Amino acid sequence: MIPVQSGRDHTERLELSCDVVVVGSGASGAVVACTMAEAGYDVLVLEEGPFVPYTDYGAMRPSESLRYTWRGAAVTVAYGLGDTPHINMTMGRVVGGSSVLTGGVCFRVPPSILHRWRTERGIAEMTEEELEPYYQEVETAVHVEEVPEEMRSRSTKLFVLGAARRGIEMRPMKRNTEGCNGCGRCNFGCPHGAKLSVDLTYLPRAAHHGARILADCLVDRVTMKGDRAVGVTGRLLNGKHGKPGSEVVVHARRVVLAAGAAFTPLLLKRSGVHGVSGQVGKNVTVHPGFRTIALFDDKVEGWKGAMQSAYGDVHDPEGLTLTSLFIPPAVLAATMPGVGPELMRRAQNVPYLALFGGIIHDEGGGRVWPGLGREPILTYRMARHDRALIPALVRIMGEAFFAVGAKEIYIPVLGAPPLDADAFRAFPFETVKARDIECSSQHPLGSCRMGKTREHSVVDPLGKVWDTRELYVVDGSIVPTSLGVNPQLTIMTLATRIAHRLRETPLAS
Amino acid sequence: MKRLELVGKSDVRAREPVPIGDGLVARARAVAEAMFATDEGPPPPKRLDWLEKELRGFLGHAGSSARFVFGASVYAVTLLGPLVSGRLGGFASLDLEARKHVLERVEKSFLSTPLLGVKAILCILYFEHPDAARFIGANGACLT
Repeated sequence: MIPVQSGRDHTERLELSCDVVVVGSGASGAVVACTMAEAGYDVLVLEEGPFVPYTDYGAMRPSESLRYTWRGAAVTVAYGLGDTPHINMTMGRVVGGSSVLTGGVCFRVPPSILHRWRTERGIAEMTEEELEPYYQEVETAVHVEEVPEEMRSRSTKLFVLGAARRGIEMRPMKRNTEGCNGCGRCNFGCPHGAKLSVDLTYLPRAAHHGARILADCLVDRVTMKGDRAVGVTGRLLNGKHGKPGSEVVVHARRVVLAAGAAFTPLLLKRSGVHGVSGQVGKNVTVHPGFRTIALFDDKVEGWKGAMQSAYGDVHDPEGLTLTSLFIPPAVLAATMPGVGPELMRRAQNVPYLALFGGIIHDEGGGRVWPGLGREPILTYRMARHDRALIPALVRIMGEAFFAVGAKEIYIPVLGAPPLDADAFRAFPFETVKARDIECSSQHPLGSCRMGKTREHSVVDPLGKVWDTRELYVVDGSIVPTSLGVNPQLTIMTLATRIAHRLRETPLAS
Repeated sequence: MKRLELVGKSDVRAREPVPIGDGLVARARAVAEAMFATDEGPPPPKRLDWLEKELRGFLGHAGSSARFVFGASVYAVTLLGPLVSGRLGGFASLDLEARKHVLERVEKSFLSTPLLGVKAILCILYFEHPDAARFIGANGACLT
């Protein structure tokens, strides 16, 4: 047995010491914890969420997974400013972080993005050659493999065929899976242990090498002694109903923040680490995502098959990526317009619905603000160019479905009725108010972006917070720009690169 | 590699939820009764009892921020909704047809975003009931 402790099982103040404390147990934190523990460091991982063994996921309905393992039960919003939709932002809050709840999709950074990092952000070392060994290390550790075509859901097969008829080439996705049977519930925790999220890979390795993992522990701030990080303080979530209770104090010789793009900037600010750039909590990119649902005459039952299996980047130059996905029937029913008998009739069509999504490779405009409680407030102002892409994206997806015989399309506009082909083509998307557009995001990035100068970034290219000692950030917040593709693999790769340097850098005495 | 295992007794599903106010749950139930009515009438009371219990469990574990957003959305829909559709009186005191009419109007008004939040959570919970899942043809073993 490799033990995980819960803060709820402690009843008194807890004081701990370690070489390296890692705040957050998700994709990046787990990588650093594992690398450092295997190198012989005494590592402590603190995670706000609970520990859920993968064998429990199969016993949970989606709504149970939402309430126990998603931050705010997925009722989390980035408030749209100006001509911007409100965005449902989803994040994990569980040992393993969002890696437990992703579709497992793995992309390397597109070369064009790396070029941009070098030329616009001045990070000359961000080359494919530099990142190659770290990508290989991560891809081996989490078993990145291509999703076979036979595992595609009928929903995806229909879209891929329709896209081909429209001249759009779709490609197989890669995911971090082994032995996947295509049961389609990746977003709610893989019940078979087939998605190799970090709670099944890096964290057991870390713990095997002595790392301690403490769940249900909320970190409030980094303890700074001058410019040097010397630990963290927080609360065990052992109060009534899991509220913050006993104090926890950690003395550490190195502090690594991996709390995610929404929380890491708040931790820095609460700790008095603002930097000279004024960039902490700014520049957030989210990959705004939009879905299109199509009604067919025949059964689709899109939940049978891999949840995500194909993508299209033919529109990448314009800033669009098409990406397959499916959602549970109950969630799909929730997207149907209407109430009462009208809603219920449409909900009965769930087995006949196909679904496809697309994300916008956005320019940023998001910001993390301190909230009244411990939760951050996120705002997002969409760039004009990005906003203009929404109708184009919906049209591409709708036309692909019509090309394979869809009867009607449900567009991501609140209250809009289903549209047949004529109505769809005549629909004035450009005049729809942003507030009426449904939008979601799973990829917040960039709130503590890396860069070459302290004047324009929060961390240096090795994750060290400018003008501090022994304080590092390794999560998605350091990604300098949006990627246009799912970021999990890149986040883990950047964290691996940083971890390799950290294990060779002597600790402060 | 061996799997991680929890030391102690903190099984997440055994945790006690934060109590949810009866007023909020009653308002949500009034919305659900209209939302999930079919041509045959409202859902069976037992189904709504089940939904009520699930809603308490869901919100009780969801965190304060989610509770605030859901609560504010329910109150916005049920307090302002009747006004938007030109009706006086509390939402819950309206008859079923009137409540359906209010929700239809709300879905096309400036209150569409709060209604989406309420509808999404109520739908996810409601359609997980085995009978409701069968009603929408959901038979996938993993997803239901």
